[in-house]
Amino acid sequence: MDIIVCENVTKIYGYKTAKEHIALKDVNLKIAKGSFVLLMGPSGSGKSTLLSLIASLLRPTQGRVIVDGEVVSKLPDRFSADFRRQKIGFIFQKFNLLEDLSVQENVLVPLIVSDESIKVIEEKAKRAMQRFAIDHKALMPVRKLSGGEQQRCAIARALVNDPPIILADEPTANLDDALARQLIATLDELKKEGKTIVVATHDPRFLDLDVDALYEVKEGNVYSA
Amino acid sequence: MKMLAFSLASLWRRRYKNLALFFIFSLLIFLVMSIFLIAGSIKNELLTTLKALPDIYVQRTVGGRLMPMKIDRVDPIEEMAGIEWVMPRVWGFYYFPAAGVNFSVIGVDFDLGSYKKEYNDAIASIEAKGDFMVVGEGVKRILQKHYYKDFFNFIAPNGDFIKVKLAGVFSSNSALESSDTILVPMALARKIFAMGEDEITDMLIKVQNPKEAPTIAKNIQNLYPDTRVITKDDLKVSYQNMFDYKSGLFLALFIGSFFAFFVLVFEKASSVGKEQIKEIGILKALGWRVEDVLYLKFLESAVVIFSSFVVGLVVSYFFVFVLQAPLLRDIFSGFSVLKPQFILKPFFDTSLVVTLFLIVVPLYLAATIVPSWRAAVIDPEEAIR
Repeated sequence: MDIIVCENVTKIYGYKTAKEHIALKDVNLKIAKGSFVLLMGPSGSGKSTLLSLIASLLRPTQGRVIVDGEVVSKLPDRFSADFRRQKIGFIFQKFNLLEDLSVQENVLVPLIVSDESIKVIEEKAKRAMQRFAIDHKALMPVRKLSGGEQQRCAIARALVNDPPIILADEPTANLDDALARQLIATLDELKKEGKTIVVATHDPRFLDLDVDALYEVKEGNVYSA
Repeated sequence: MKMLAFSLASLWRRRYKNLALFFIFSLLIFLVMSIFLIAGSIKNELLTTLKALPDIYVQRTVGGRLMPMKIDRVDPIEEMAGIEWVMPRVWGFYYFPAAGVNFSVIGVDFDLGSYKKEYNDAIASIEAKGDFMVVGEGVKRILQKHYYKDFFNFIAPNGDFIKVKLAGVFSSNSALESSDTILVPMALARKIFAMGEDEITDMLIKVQNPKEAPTIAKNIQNLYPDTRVITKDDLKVSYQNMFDYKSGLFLALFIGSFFAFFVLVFEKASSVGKEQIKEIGILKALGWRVEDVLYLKFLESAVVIFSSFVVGLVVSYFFVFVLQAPLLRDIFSGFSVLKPQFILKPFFDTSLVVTLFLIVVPLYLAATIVPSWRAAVIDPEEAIR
């Protein structure tokens, strides 16, 4: 069963302006539930844009994106926010942590707008931090953490809601070799738990994994590799 | 609760910026509120003064200058229809060179009393004989400063010293008006001002029906064409002019404070920092709706502006009514050469507080929420980028 479907998706930044830039051209893509998918390609090829469209962080200029049976590319703001909170765990290349907040506060951010009680969400945050071995720095502002610790905090935040889909944008770009391999192992572990993993990367170490699909993204086109 | 806790944490992590905003807004609200409170207190003072005024004053002028008149003019006026009582007065300013101030010396018939309750209260307990005086608190202060504790030496126009015993001190509801006043027996007042025994300076008149005052004033004017007849309404205008002059100064301060407030608000409304846009983008990427973001920003702003408002309000009350508005008060207390010991009496004007609240708080909240809304409707990816 396909959990992510892109149908004729085109994304043009600055559409109908002088700064028009075509990021994706007529992309068709299907990703099965529980699979581990790699999107590989050079910087600026359109990988991050594709992830953002799947996460409903952007809207396509043309075409539609369907996630878990829902056309997310046409969702009104409040529903797309709910969709992201419930279905997507996004690991950003530059972490995108709120730098002055503590690790715990950062991990709590996606849960604050949920209906759960403070006690429940604090318990969830604690478990997520323990899982990614960042709980000992729970009260430390994230700007004081090392790159690896920030990455673990970002992953804990992305997974605190236990989303079925994990999107990771160049997750190893800012990590040393040991941490990068650790992260790759973590993603592989999450796949084994039944999560759908989509990683945009040009890191060849991911090729050591037994991935379910590999796509090459080049100049806005997506090819099955 | 979760959101409130998060907003407080958010305020804390930008504590220097938020503290600066808190202090600026507290200061502005304090300034504006202090101005209103002082102006309100002066106005109350003015109303107290006006209440005590007689309905009509009658003076005699020659060539535009005030001149004494004969006391026998009193009886014909007293016989006019609608008159309740007529009180002849002997009064004038006495310049005290050592302090560089003028005292208002008022001759009172200590047996008949005065038109003023305060004066009557003050003279009721006085049983002194000979030349004595009852003084306002301001006068007492000045005299003591110049070593006149029990008596004072007036110098008559012919150069004679007139030693006058200090028999008592009176207080008045209106410190502005009576702080520089000296009450003396009529005969002594005439001696101090070198007036004849049958002369008075003016007359105070109370009428039965205040609405008839203009007509009665006209009749008095007809009876004695060399007099200037002033009604309470004329005096009200004169007092109001003085009040308006003082209020004008405060208005200038008020406008300055509000201008500063609006500049700050405009500054806030017209710009959102890149960091703030990115933060909003991150929140949205993590599943926050636009309304969640706006609620957070509302809470953050509300904490800042509410606390500023309350602190500004409390401090202004303390400053004006407990500390008696140092510096600001000097702006208006200079209208009397004696600088009376004017006490700003506390009052609470609900409509003033509510009006200021409605002008300041919603405007600030809007100024914070509107730019946040602009940032929140951008696609999260674009905001983060």
